[in-house]
Amino acid sequence: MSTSSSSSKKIVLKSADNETFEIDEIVALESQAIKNMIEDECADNVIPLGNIDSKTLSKIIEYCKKHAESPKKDDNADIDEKAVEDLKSFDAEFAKVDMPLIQDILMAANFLNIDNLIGLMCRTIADRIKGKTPEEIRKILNINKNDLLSPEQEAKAREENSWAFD
Amino acid sequence: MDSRHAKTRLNVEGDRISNLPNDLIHRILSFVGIKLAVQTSALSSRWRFLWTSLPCLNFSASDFKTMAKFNKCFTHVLSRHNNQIEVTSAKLSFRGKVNQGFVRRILDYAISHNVQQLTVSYSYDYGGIPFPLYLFSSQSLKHLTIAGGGVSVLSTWEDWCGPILL
Repeated sequence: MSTSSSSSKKIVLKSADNETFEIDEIVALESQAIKNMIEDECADNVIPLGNIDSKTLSKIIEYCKKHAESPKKDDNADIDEKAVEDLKSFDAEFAKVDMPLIQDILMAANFLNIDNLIGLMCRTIADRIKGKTPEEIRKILNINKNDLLSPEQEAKAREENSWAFD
Repeated sequence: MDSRHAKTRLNVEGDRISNLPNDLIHRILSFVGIKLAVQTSALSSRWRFLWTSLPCLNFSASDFKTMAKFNKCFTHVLSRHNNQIEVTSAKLSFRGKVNQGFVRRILDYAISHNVQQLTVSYSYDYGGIPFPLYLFSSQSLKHLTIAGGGVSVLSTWEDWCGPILL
């Protein structure tokens, strides 16, 4: 399963800001949504991704390339431990980006149905809000100020769940 | 570097995380422990009751100063959790002595809500957990992990669950 062979089939993705990315089909197959499109033969020429900007898309391609190149767990029972470690440290580095980009990647990964990447982004967000107060979490996640509870409603939420706020 | 970039984006972008579908927010909350998940009820109207439909319930005594508080959390969560929601995964971990009814309550709730993955881990000085027989005839349960802490054994009893196993 060579991923770098020049003869392998290519897929072209087009971002919302009209940038095109040519990638190996095997990389695109990391996305279950694109895989379904290819299998249903409705992925001719260029796949337009009107809700994903080029910055987010290039990050996602970086992720899919790395994961497509790595040996899959079910391919081989005695999988190289070094490869597993390598992928782990790649994921850790990959997630070191700002919160808006994390959220963009999460939404795009959800749209493209890339389950490992969805999981990685959810874990990253969880790690950043762990041990934080609701006030801090509102800032970290940039919670919509127009959607805040009234002081009375917030007091009620805290009272109902008082054990959690000790 | 991250924060400067975040600021400029935050000024122009809205609250994207609250626009995520519930299942993604639930996935984030499944990584933070039940206490913080419940605290998110104070974030905004969008988040007010999100935790009550969490399909993953993760109870860890280490989030609490005393077992009495842990017990209170437990009672509260089980009574407020949306009864219509299937519990895909439930985890319970604690150290020291607990009331046997305590363990039984989460098992009953999880099994009656079609739990697929159940994990109970506890310190080895706890004598024995009254695992009811119906656990092993559950139609939904696919993974059961029982882990004694310290130097004690780890037993995975997946084989007990019969033909629906992976």
